[in-house]
Amino acid sequence: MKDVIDVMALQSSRRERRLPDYRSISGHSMATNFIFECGIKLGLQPATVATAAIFYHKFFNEADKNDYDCYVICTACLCAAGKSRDEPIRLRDAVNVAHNSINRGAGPLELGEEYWSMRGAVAQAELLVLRLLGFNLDAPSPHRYLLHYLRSLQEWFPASQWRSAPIARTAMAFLQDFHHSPAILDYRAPHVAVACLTLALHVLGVSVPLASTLDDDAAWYSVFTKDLQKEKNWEIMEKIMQVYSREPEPI
Amino acid sequence: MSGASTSTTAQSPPAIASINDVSALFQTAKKYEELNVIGTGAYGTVYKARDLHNGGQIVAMKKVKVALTEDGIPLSTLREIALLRQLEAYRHPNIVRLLDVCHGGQSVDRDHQLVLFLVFEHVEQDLELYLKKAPGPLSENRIRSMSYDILCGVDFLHSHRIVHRDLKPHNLLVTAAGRVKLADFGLAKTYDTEMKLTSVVVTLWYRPPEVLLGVSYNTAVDVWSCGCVLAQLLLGVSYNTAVDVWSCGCVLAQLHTRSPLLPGSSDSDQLHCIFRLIGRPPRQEWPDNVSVVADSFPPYPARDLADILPRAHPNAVNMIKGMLVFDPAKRLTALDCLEHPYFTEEPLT
Repeated sequence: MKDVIDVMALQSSRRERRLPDYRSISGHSMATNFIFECGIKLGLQPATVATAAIFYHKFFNEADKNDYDCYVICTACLCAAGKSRDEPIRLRDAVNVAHNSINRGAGPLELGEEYWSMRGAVAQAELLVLRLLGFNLDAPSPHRYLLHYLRSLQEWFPASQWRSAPIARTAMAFLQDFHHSPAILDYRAPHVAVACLTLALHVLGVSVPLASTLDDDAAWYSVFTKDLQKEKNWEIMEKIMQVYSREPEPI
Repeated sequence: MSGASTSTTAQSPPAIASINDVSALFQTAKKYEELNVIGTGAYGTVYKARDLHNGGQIVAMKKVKVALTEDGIPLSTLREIALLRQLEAYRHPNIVRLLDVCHGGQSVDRDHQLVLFLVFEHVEQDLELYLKKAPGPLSENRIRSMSYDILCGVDFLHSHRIVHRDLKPHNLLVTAAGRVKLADFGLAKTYDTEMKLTSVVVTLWYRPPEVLLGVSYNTAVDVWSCGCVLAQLLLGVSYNTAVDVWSCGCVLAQLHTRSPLLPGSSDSDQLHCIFRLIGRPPRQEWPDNVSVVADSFPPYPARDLADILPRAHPNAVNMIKGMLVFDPAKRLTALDCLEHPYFTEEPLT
């Protein structure tokens, strides 16, 4: 029995070590990582976490990054995104998860001054985020487009070929990771979804059946979105790939 | 927040201070100048204001107080306001423009209330005033075009899953060009908390019978109501939207006569007014789960609407009759009305 606990402790400490130490990082370089980590810990749907990241990028499009504590704003974005997508989280949970992610290994906050001041800051920040977004909480979700495209492609692929490569998982992962970049605000949701899909197919070395018989081998996605040029698609794919060069080396 | 747990107290105050400064920031960056109070409704005060950033454009600011919960701004309020903003993207000609949403930072800490300002386009007069000021009966074409505007607006709201619930001439704005725009919708839940705080009487004249009788929307979950829900899903008809159609019918009749169709003085008097017009409904149509029994009303016979609206076109009378039906399920929908011969049939006299 003792061994089991040891193994689990070892695993969790290994996992912990791979997570960034937000206290040692200055500025906003880890802000979106923080949103994703807290969002997952709070059990939010991926699309809700992505919405929180969009709120964060929109917020700092308007506001100066030096004026606000990025982790308070990130937590507030998670709260607002949860409400806007009908997946509300308790403010108390959000505060505790945020605190624990910043101060690794610390226990839950005592109901003291530190808790109340952080909670107050997050509550105020939520109102501020809503104000700066002008209550425009309707984030066009590329997730829905991608799901729809994947569904259609799945029917088009021979079943064995579809099973042989994790196309759906890879494309969804690219989409989720693209939310680390503020560039996601620059493109329309269907275009982002197609770019994630195209990139996944390239990475996995899979080509769409019969696409080579078309005059333009990239034209297969014109059934999904008509106004996406090949160059634009490559531009988005490059922006997605840049997300991965941005990430610091794992410790 | 970014400090180690031991030094958090030393590091966090700046962050919190900067957040709290925001309310000061709102006050200095003043965007709107209040001019005067337009009206105090059941749901809050409406001000006329000048937009200082947009060349002094006149706007209407509606002040809404929202009770903050333990978890900040209530989910329902947030979603309703977000929905209004979402609707704004369509720029529907018969819906009043929502230009901005601000919150006054000052009373956030005090009694856990948030003051929200919804900034709407300013329209000089409402339909109530318009009808009062009209020198004589409105022309047939005027009535038809206004009826169409109102129904278009209602149909637009219904197709975006919004029920107005309080349609009345006071909430219908008439622009200088004579177009009608709907106002005051979509904040049912936001207002509900506020409703209890004011004693302003909400007018009954446009209330449909099912609301007056207190038919609950959440009828007991049994096979019957399941069937009803299923029928609603299949037909795309909801009893909630029928509420608006009734009110709409009352307003449309008022366009013809320039006086309210059913001016009841109390809940029960309102029902008497209604039954004097449409007749007491047969017993099988009477809802089961209400405290009032059909026999408490005399067996009024139905009156002919054409007698009440003598000048109206037969098609107009026919359509209004279809809107003022006791059973919400049998009432026309806003879309039915838009396709009614009244609007489609030549000659358009």
